[in-house]
Amino acid sequence: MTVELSRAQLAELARLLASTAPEEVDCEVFHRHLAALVERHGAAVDTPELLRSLRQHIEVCPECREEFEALLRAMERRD
Amino acid sequence: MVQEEPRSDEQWLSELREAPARAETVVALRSYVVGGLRRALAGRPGVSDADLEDFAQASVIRILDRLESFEGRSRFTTWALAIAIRVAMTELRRRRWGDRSLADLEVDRPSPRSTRAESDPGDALVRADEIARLERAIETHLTPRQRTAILAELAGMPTAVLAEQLGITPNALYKLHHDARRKLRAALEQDQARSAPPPSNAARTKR
Ligand SMILES: [Zn+2]
Repeated sequence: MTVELSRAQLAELARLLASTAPEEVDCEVFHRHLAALVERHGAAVDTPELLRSLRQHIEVCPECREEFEALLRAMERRD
Repeated sequence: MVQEEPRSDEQWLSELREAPARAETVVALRSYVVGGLRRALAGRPGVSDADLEDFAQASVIRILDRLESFEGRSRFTTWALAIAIRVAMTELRRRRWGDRSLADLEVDRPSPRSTRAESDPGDALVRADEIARLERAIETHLTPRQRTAILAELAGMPTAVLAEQLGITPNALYKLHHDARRKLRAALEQDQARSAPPPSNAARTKR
């Protein structure tokens, strides 16, 4: 079997691997804290370790990153 | 239009829990969600007003369903909007992806050059030897399912669709993907350590 990825895909994979951590929170945990993360820039997140994990999740999970950015946009443009 | 006093979190919760205020509050929540989604999805092509209404409708049902899991970490409305954004994005991702399956992706003998930008902005970022290493690591260090998880996501397949097709939960898929990334990273690090030039002293006495 040969793996043939485009350069862009390989670049994305290299970036993902560079951001990969031994322990990560999954999307469910991320989502539980998403509103607090956006609203108070993480001030309401329980511990610094958790805050670090949530920020790391954004680096390795494109879908959660997309939702984080969308919520941020919605909150910033209010009023 | 009458400018209403904004509800407190407690008001939202108690009014959504029971009559008589429930019906009216559900309408207010729906309208908040439509406005929030409009801002969140601004500039996205192919999102109509009817879509926003549909997403809001589905979101309100989900929000009411999960009311008791609101923990007060943020304002109620921010929490509700986060749920709505997930509902809307999941649907938009499915639409964009269409009904392609894993078989269409041919991730077993992959050459998915299709879905990412043709201009290849990655050119400058990845060197030829790194490419070879990465491709070798994907071929030799991953289980078939791990390889599928990595390649399907790189091809842009939504995780909800991929989890369904693999018959696993999204959380299990995340773990599969995470395990695959850890393995690849470890393999690349080992590879690099092996091919690194020996320190200069050792170089002379070697062989
Ligand atoms: Zn995620």
